[in-house]
Amino acid sequence: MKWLRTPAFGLLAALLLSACTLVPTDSSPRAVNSDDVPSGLLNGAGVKQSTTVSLWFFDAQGRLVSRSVRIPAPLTISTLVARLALHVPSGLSTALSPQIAISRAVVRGSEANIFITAGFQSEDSASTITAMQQLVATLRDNYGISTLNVTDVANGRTLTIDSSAP
Amino acid sequence: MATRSLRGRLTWTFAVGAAVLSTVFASLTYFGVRHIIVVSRQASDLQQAYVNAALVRSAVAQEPASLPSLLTSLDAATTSSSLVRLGSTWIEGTTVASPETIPAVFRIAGTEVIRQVVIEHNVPVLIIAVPLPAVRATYFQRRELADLNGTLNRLLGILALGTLFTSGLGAYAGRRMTRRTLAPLADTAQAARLVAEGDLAVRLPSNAPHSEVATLSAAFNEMVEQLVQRLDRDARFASDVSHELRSPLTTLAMSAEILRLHEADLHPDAREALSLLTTDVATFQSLVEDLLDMAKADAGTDTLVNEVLPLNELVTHCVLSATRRHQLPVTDLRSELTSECYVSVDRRRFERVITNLLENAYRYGEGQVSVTLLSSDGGAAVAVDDNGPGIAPAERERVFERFYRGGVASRRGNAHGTGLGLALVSEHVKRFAGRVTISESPLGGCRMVVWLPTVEEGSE
Repeated sequence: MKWLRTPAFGLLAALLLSACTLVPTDSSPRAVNSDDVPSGLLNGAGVKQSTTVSLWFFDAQGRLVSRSVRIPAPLTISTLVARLALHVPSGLSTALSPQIAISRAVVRGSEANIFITAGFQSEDSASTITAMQQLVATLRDNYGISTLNVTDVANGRTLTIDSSAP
Repeated sequence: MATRSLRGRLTWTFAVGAAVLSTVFASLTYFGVRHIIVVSRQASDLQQAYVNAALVRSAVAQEPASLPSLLTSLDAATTSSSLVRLGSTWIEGTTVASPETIPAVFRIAGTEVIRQVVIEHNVPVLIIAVPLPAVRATYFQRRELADLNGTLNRLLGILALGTLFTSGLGAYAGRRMTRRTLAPLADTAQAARLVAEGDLAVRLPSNAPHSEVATLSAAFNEMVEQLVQRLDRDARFASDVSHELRSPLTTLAMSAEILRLHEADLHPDAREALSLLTTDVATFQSLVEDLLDMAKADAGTDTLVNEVLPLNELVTHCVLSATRRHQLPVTDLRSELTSECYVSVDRRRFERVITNLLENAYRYGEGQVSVTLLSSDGGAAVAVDDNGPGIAPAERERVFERFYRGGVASRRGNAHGTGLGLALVSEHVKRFAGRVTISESPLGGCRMVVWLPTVEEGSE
């Protein structure tokens, strides 16, 4: 059986080579040495700790009006919604429930998807549309959002409002 | 599996050696280049991620509204996919990357930059996460490495082709080199074959005095020299012994002949003893004559006196002479020649050839012997047939050896010859540039055929 050795070795080598053709993968994430990361990226040096945003509320005549306020960085949709629901300036009102809770928000270009777990009645069409208007006006100023999709996680219903549509 | 020739094995060794070496070098090259390419690509992707993360950090802190457009432009510029996580808010750059494409372990907020290469839909993807604690955000970058895979596959293909080519080249080089290296072996084999056929003058050249081939050639030539010297010694010894025995044997034969003249006066027991003595002395004389002839032939001291003679007349004369001189029965002589053929032979030795063949036929046959002249293969042949037990094909070559005592003698009657008759036939016929063969006889026994080249009448 000596004559079988050479082809067997060749086959083994071919198998080993074919097994290694791909870019080597990692079984788990690898941490990069902090010394190799550009200085300042992993700390807060030179970065502002708050930012000014525009929040939209309803006045006594039911019109949307804007108010500028400073809020701590980072600016997130959850922060904006919480501000809209809980910190209403005097003489103005909000259409958002204080119980509103957002599980996740995804912004892609000029479109935002908000997933709400509580405090949003997707069945009550009048109050829902008012709340959607307030939300899209605020997000347009702060994120450049023109299309807003709000998904009620409880029943899976999604409402869409497109402020760029005529 | 059939045994391969030495040349085949050496060629195979060259090819396998070249294949193994080129495979090792190709593997080392492949893994080395792959390491360099992958490390280099990951380092450049990491640097790009740091730059992007710094831009994202500034945008988050100063102008959050510009973040989606920033990520989109980063993706377009770097052919990667970017995501930013701000608490529960994800900002995406393109549709390729979504939060679901980021492994769960990356979503856990950490303080270190982490990276991992994973396989998604058979495509390697490098994922980098850069925490931005200043804005409580994390920047993610996904980069597909399909182009890297393609580059490595192309490299592997080129190296595999190179390995195949090198193996073929190794086999070709091995074939050429072994042909030159083993040529002296072929010469040695040819020379040994010539020596075995009786050409003791053949020698191997020694062109390279200090090479292994020269050693082999010298050893071979030395062996042939020793062989020649031994044969010479043996031939001289046989010649001397035969010569010394011939005179006393002649005296003995003459004495026996004188006794035979007075056979009637002897006692019956003495008559029987005389008969035995006469027979044995005749056999002994014949043996000594054969030995002398053989020794002369071996030593090359016998001189051929070739004459161009008509074969029909020559054979007729030889048969009658042998029959008369050796008191053989009348032999049937036929000719199938269409025209007269001439052969160039030494008359005395040719007569010896015919005599030995006839004696052999009568000794081992069962009484019926015929001699036929034939045209054959550009020459002429003399066929001597008998109706004896014949000779087995396996023994037909060996019966021409000196003193050969195979199964032939025992099967072909119980008569005793000198053991040199057919050997002498073979020696003499060879010197006439002819050949002697054995086949089945139409009489049921053995047919000995002496083939001789024909010549033109009157030629030298």
